[in-house]
Amino acid sequence: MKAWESIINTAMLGTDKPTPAIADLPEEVALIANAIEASAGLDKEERYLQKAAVIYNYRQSGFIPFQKNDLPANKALAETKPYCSPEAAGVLNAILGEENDQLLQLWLMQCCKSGQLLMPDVLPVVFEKAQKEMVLRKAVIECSGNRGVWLSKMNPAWNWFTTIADEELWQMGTSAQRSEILKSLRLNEPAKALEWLQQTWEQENAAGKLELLKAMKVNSNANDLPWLEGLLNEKGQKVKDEALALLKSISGSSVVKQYQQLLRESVSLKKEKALLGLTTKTSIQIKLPAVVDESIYKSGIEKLSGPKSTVTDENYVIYQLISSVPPAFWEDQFEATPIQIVEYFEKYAPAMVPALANAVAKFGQKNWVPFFLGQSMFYPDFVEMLSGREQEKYLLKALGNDPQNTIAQAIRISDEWGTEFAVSALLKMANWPYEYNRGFFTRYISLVPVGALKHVENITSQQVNLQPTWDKTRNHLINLLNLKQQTLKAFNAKKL
Amino acid sequence: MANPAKWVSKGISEEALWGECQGSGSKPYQTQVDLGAIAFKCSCPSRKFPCKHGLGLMLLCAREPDLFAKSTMPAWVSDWINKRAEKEEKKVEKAAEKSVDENAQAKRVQAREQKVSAGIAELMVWIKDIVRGGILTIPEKTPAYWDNMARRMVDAQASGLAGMVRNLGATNFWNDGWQSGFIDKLLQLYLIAEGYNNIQNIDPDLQQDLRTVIGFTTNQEELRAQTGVSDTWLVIGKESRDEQQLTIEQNWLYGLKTNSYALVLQFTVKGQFPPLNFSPGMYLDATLVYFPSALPYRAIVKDYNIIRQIDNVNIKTFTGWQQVAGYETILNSRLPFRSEMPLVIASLTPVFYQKQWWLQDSESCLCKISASYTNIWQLIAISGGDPVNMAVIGRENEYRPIGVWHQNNYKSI
Repeated sequence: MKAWESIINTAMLGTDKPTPAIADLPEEVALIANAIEASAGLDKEERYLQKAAVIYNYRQSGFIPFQKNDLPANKALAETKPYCSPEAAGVLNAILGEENDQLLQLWLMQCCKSGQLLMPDVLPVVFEKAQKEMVLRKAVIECSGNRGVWLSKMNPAWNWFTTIADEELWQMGTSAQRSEILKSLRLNEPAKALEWLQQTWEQENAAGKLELLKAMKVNSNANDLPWLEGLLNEKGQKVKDEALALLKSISGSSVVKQYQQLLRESVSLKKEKALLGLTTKTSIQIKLPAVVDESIYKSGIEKLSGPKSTVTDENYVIYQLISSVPPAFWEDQFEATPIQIVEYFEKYAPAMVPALANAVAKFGQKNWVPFFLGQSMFYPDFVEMLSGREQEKYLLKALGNDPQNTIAQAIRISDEWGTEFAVSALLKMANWPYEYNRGFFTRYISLVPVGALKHVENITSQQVNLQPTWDKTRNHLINLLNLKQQTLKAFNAKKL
Repeated sequence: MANPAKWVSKGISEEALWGECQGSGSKPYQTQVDLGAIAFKCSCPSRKFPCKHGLGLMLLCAREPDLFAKSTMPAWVSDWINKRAEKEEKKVEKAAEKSVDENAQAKRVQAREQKVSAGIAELMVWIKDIVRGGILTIPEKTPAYWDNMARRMVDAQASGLAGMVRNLGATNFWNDGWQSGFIDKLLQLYLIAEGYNNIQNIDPDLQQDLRTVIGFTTNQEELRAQTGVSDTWLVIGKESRDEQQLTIEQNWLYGLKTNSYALVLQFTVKGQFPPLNFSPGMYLDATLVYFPSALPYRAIVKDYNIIRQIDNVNIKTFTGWQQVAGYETILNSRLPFRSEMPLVIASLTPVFYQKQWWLQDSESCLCKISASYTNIWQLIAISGGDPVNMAVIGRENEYRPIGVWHQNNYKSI
């Protein structure tokens, strides 16, 4: 409005400058402005203020909405799936209020499973969460329906909704994206992943090579060997080290074969007749050959056990070698079954049993694990190799001896704990409420089963002075478990 | 505490909510909530007020109302509720008994009016100084420049004007086009000051508006004695802000039968509960008494009952921006220095045009969505590109949504 612009211009420079000319004013305002000009006894500031006040009121009263008829329609497609129930939406709001990504993930998974959708009003806040937590994205996309797809196109920050073909992302993506693509491809099609990497290898810089090689750890296998062996001639030391680390994890690689050869010469099962041939005396002979190929020390085997170690240098080298070869090697070497091999080591070379266990974990030999479970020693790596009741039993056994390490291992499991272990662990945790605090349960609530809820209220700290702190943590845990229970209930999940 | 297992017994009546919570002691804690004017009492030893038992009980009732059977209050609850009612009655009686020294009161009123007049004279000089020198250098003024004048207004017992001066100084001078907003506010201040100088010559209702905006208080007990407007009111918006030690809560209400809007303000000391606890989307059967005004808007709640749910709500909405413009013209003619008021408008669609968001009506007329509005994505997600009925606050061509009707429910955004 021209008259208002003129008022602002005068205001900027002061009333010594000309005020809007009456001729420039709308007819209705001009009449009043004339009357103001004609009033005696008004100074120029007052005249300005009075005219400005009239124009201000005229401007507000004369507002005409702006009309635009040709804006293109931009509507979301109708949904084909139902929205979640009001109960489920209520629980989601409580979870968002609690800012717990674990529970949010659980809620989203349940929503996906039941084929339902997020209510539209929560889409932006859930998108923001998924923006930061990539792990939520897949479920968010699935639960957002057509409204979510439509909404995501309006905000460039939510472009992760548009799924780019893996191959295109591999060619054009950021190094983090490419590494993720390679990992996921390795899971299902390891050979194809290797082929992709070989195609671009020469164009990658050293840092990129290192990251991509790390991704190749997933499903590493004998087919990778020829190419990996070739990488030992790479220029970059870090790339060479990473390639060597990969080779050491694949049975049949040159370095593993070298270790096996040395072990063949160093460790043997000796059976001798005793008591005039009535019994057989068995022993494991451990002795390195007089000359050891120095190259094995360059491949990561330490030569010296260290000044304070009680283990001899020789035994230390053998220990590392046993850890580095597939346990199946001993089936040929000792001409025995896995259970016999474990027994031989327990009986005749007990110091080497942990090395054998390391090898079982390193080469993922799940069939060997049961032969170690009866031992008093706890092997943390075996926890993830076990499943269901066996895993729970193993953890329960370890919990009594070393609660904190067992819990540290248990939180690395991806599946929910069994109720028995969860309650036992919580009983221990109550005695360390500063370590197992609100933040701890916020992070790991996905592991604690809803079945523990009825027991949690009765769990107290053995130390009276720690009870108030534990009380606060316990209340938080109860709240989280209630939300978890309500989530499952809202989607009629069987797991209650 | 919001867990049913914690509560040995529980119940609800029109006046109160109660329950017995099993704590660490042998006897359960007796927790009670006055639902009339929210207040808590609990037999637990907690120093926190309200305690977790009171809050937990309310939360449980809100989450799972079916768990609370309507029943007569047990003695321990009715005793407390009766005592509170007696206390309230005594307070009213005491206030009524208070003898008023009319002469002294008149003298006090006169003295205050003189002080206000003197303050306004000073304010006029200050406003004229600003327009004489021009506002080009106004952004360079130090906070003391605004604070000094605000303090003068406080000394002149014109706290409303003091707030307006502070608000003028709080203009965002970094924004493009700050000059227009600044002059708007300056002219409002001028209109009020000049209006007060001529108060004898104007309409009595407008006189009340001027007095209220300057800072004269209205006796709320006298207001409460008036008949008021009875209606079913929908709470369409609620906002709180802190000012020094006070929390100021604005509740916007819409009367379904009378098609009228009201603003209920509550002032509480920080951390305390306001006497009325409204939330957007809530329906009340209530009687409101408007403050005397040329444009009745601010009101007090005389009495109310919360209604759980209303089906098939019939709201007389504005049909579009043209109608809003006409309505605002009427409002401006009645009260030229009015504040922003809420409006319920039918079929508005958020659209993106010329790098900003607008609200488009069914006639393709557009008004801007205020740049300070933060829930734009939620609004768009709810709309899905379809028109929705919406409650907005603003003026001229800029508004911010405060709520929408979505799937037959009102949702604050």
